[in-house]
Amino acid sequence: MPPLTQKLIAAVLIFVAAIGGLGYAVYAKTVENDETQAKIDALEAEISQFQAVIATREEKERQRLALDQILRDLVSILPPYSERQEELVQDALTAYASGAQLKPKRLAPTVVQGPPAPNAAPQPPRPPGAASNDFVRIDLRMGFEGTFFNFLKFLYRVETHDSFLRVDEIQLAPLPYAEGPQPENRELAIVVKVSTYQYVPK
Amino acid sequence: MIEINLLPPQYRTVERTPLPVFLGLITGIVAVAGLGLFVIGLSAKGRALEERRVQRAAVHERMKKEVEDVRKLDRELQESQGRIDTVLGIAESKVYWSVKLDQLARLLPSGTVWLEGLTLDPAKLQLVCKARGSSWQRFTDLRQRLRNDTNFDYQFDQIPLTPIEVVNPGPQYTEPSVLSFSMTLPLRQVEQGPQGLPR
Repeated sequence: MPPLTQKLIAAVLIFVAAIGGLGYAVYAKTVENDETQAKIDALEAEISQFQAVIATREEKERQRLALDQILRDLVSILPPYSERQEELVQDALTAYASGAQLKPKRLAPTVVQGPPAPNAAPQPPRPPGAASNDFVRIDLRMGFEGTFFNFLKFLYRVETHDSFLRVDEIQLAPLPYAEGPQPENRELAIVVKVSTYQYVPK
Repeated sequence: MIEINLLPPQYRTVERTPLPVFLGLITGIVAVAGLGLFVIGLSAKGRALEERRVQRAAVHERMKKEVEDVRKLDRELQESQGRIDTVLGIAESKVYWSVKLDQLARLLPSGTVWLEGLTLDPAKLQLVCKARGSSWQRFTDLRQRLRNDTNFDYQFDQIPLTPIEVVNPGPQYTEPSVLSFSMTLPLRQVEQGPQGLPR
């Protein structure tokens, strides 16, 4: 084989090898660059979403201030937090009963922590995320004897109490009949269940 | 056999690289050089992209923290709204029973129907009544009176029909028989919105 041919073959082989190696390098670099570009695109997309979320921050802070103010105003209808709230309510009910000439029979206070009992109706609605554990319900069941109209006076005073008091249950039954008073003045056995709520932010 | 060229050097035939081979070589060198430069260019672009990725990743990380703050704010807003809805629900759940019972007392037909007992629980108001005479008309009249008074009735659902009996009221009454029935007034529940919120 003439030396020129040998050289030519060698040169062709070298070129083929060089072009093959460089071609692979181009392919590998292109793939690597595409992957990096894809990562950048993903980051850019997330950054755009983040920017949209961050842009709402000021508005949300304003909303929070407004909601806090509304909550403060609304919560003012409930009695202020006191460890002896149950006693205070009991005292108020006793005073109203006495003012309405009802005779107290018995007192059986019960304190319920947390959201309203499941059987209590109408239920305060609890949307998802509601921090209903911030509210403590206090139930008081009281018994009296007195006439219907005196009971209505008592009830009116309870319901117009300075802070929130709700009448949940009432039982009225006539006491055994005795000679004397007309039906409308007959004494009744009265049982009332009153509840209130306290806001105790956790 | 050994061939000897005896011509002086200036007259000897010089063996040159054939033109096609030369052009092929040049083309090959240019192609390899071009590819080499392209690879260098790609590497430079790759470095630039990597730098950009690192820089965007840093921005992403910083923004992620801010977004977490905004999400926390969202949760606080939701909690505040929940508390507000709870207080509103508590306020809306109050019925002024002193007014309701006063209305009821006024609606009872004087001298013909009277209450023997009253029970209110969270679901209903139950009246145990007696009525003079033995006509069931007393029951339907009372039911109609309660239904017709919108101020009284709006907090109640439809009054179901209940058993009516004619009974001996006892020695304290002059009449030998009276109508005895109970009337149940189911309390209308607070309407709930799609997410448990009041409408």
